[in-house]
Amino acid sequence: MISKTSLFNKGLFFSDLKRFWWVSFLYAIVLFFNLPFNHLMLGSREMDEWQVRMLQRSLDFSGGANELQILLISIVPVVLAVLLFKYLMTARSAAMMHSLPLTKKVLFITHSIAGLFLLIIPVIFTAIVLMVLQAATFLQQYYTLINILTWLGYTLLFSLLVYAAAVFVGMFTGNSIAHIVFNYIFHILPLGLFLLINFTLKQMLYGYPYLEIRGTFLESLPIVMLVDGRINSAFTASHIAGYLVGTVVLFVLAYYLYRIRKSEAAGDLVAFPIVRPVFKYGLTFSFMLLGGVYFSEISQGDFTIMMLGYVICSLLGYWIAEVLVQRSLKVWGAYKGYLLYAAIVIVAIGVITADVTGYERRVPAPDQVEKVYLAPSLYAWTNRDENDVAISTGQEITYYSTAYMSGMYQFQTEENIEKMTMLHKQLTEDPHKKEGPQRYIIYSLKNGKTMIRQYPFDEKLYAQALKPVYESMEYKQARFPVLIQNLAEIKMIEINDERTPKEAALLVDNAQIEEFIEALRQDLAETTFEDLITNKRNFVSIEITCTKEKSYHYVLDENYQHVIDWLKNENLYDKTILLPEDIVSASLEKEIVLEDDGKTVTYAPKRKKVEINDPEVIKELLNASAAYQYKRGSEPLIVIFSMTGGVGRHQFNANINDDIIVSDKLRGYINQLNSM
Amino acid sequence: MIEVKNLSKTFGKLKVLDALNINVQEGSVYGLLGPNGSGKTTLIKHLTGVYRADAGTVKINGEPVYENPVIKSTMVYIPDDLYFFSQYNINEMAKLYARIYPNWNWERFEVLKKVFPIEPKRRVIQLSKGMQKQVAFWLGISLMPRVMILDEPVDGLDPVMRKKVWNLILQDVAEQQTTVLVSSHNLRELEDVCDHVGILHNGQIVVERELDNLKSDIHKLQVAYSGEIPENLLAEVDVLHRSQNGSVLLYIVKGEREKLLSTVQATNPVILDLLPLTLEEIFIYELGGMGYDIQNILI
Repeated sequence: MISKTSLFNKGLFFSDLKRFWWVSFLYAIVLFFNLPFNHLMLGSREMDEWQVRMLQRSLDFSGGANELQILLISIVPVVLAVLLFKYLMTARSAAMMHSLPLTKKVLFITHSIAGLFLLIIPVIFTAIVLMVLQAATFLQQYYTLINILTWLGYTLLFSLLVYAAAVFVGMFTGNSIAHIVFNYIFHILPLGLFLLINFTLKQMLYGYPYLEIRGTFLESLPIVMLVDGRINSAFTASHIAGYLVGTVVLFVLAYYLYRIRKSEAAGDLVAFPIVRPVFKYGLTFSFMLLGGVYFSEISQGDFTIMMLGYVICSLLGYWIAEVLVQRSLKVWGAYKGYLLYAAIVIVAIGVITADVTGYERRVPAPDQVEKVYLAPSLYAWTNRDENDVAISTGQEITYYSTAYMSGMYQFQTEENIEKMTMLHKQLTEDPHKKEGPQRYIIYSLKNGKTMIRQYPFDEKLYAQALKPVYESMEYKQARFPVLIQNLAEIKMIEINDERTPKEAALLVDNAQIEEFIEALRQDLAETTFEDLITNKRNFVSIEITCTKEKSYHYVLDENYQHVIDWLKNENLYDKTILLPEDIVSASLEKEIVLEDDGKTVTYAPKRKKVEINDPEVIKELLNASAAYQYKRGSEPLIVIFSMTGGVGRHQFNANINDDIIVSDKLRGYINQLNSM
Repeated sequence: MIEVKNLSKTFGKLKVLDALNINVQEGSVYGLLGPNGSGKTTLIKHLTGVYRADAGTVKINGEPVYENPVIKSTMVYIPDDLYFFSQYNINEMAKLYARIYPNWNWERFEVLKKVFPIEPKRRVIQLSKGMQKQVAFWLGISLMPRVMILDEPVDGLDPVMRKKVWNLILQDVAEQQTTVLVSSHNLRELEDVCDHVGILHNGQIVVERELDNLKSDIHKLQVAYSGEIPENLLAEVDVLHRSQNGSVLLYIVKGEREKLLSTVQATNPVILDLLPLTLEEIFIYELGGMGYDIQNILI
């Protein structure tokens, strides 16, 4: 009998279930063994805290225990959509299905619902099993009914969206393999294009920043959400609403596409002739950008090589697209389309690299700028509204000043804004220097707009502009919050020299704290640009604790004369800090490399070794150890200081570079060591 | 019953049907002929509502077929290359059809078991091509069709089964006034069953006639003369083909039989034969006149 309702056909529905129940069945089995059965097995043994957390996490998608589920969510809905609409992909089955006395509406709705049913049943079945077990067994101590319902909700939400997308994509093609491939391309395309275009513009435009997807809509894409494992933490009500709306919109669009799709499209790679150029040039463009990235990477950003990559890969992409669309390897006749494409691309690259819009040279006038940020990463910029960055390590949370952690500075004073625009102008004027770490300069303009640039530069080379900025209180206050911190907040200060066994100095007395902070503030106020950008290692730390969870870390530079004097006055300096006379002897050593295959280095069990007792040389070694810089491919010298002070004899290991300028005496020791 | 007007269809740059018209009356058996690639299957897929027309109308019983479940539920379409769900046996296919086609007749299905000697529990796709075709007829006839659209229907059937199948179809035509449109290259067989034929060439119906009518209009003429062949022989007659074998002349001519006979007799031939053409000969000579002819190419 024909079904009474005109939207749905029971016969067809049951036939879909009969043909594809096995997908559901396999899905249910995997879910059963991954969740309820797994929980029972885990829970029946003694579990440590980590295992308990993993068990709980398997229901909340917060990462760590959900890889298999995420894989299933990305695969099962796609498999179902591909199978249910496979009849569109061959002429025989398309003719059979479309000659049935059913409208396309009924066909689409019935097949779609059959797929939904097959997708949902295993998930609901698993949820019911979980609920029964949770109610009946020890599992109730690990999770609640709400946890199970949350799992059910998220799983369905993601599955439905992935399924709707797969059905939607299927309408565009007449080939099942293309259906699968296009489906996953559809998911990664926005992200891929964003990254490729960003990279490309960065190569072509000096100062164009590397942008992150954080804070953009790309972050909310299901693929990003699933892979990031942030569903439970980053998912909001608007995400849920967006996903549901997305699911409905994809189904509705898929339905209208199905209505206009011709059944003779079976077998065609792209079902709608109108979409074929989009596919062809889209593939060509993506290949070109991808080739550009690859060739640019292997040539360290050589523009000519990148253009070579463009030519090779766009030709390749164009050819592949033509081959796929025409289903023939002989597509040489289509070269005209490529010439047109190439002409457009050449013009576009010309326009971009000639900087027609003045992008590279544009520097805002200081009076138009409200704030300017200087930061090595976008992380600090994205989180600029937060005062502190919480670093979570299990139960304890340690706070650091944002600027201290990330080095982001926000300048608002007229002088600093002017100096920053001056720096920016200098950078735009010599665009060929590409040394030093990448830094972002981000303007918040008075007209409400934001201007982001990124340049690689070495602070030392731009001292003229940066020195006054770094030496300004605005900069220092951002970098050293202690300059403006409320004294009453500070509960304790700990000064510790990691090199010595001497006990750390603890300041808890309010008067002492006040005097110390006063001295520190004076030193910080006087500290110079050169000290601020130094890479010198500091072994003495100052930890300012406010509450149990909140503490700030600073270092005690040897130039902090006020602090050093204060410590000496308080008779704390000698008790806390390593003095050269504490060191009894130093041993200069060097590893003997037995084998270095590029990946792992094998050392001889015994090092080459020279003993040094000369106090002058020991002092020099101490300084050298503070100045040590890691250098690739060069073996550092190891110096082991043996010292008194504290309890018993103590040793401190440090590295020094063997190419430093040293006294003749020390050079003698180094030569002696090298000649061994 | 079947009425196609100005139907055009283009695949990519290839125009397959070009303002095609056909008309099939209720209760008739219409043979659709045409060379390979002439558009027969494309036309059939329009008649069964699989393809949507680029232009023109395709109506059955006065209603458009595309997206019309009411009309399609009274039709059976047996394509050249059949498709069955891979896991289904014959009984399961029958159950599915019974759910989808409102006029499905289980009694008929049971009776037809005698005609088609296949175990109904066998999976359809494991059957041979000929047996699959039998299944298609078995199911198709059981759904009590008003219209049957058959694309190369008996291809792959053994001679006995062909006879059986045609008997069933013609029985339906006689008793239920079922309309049949059949495309085939087996012109001998069509000759026995069709009452109308249409010849499709380059996307158009070039000949559409009652078969008897068509046959009485085209003739094979054999003449021989003792002496000279008269000059203006058959000058006023539509000659489709002329060949000479020794002194015997062979003509394929169009026109009224009596008139032709009298015209030729007037020239005093020693031999004069006027024979009806087989459908196969009609097909070859009609299309030959349109440039689709047999050329003896030596290889």
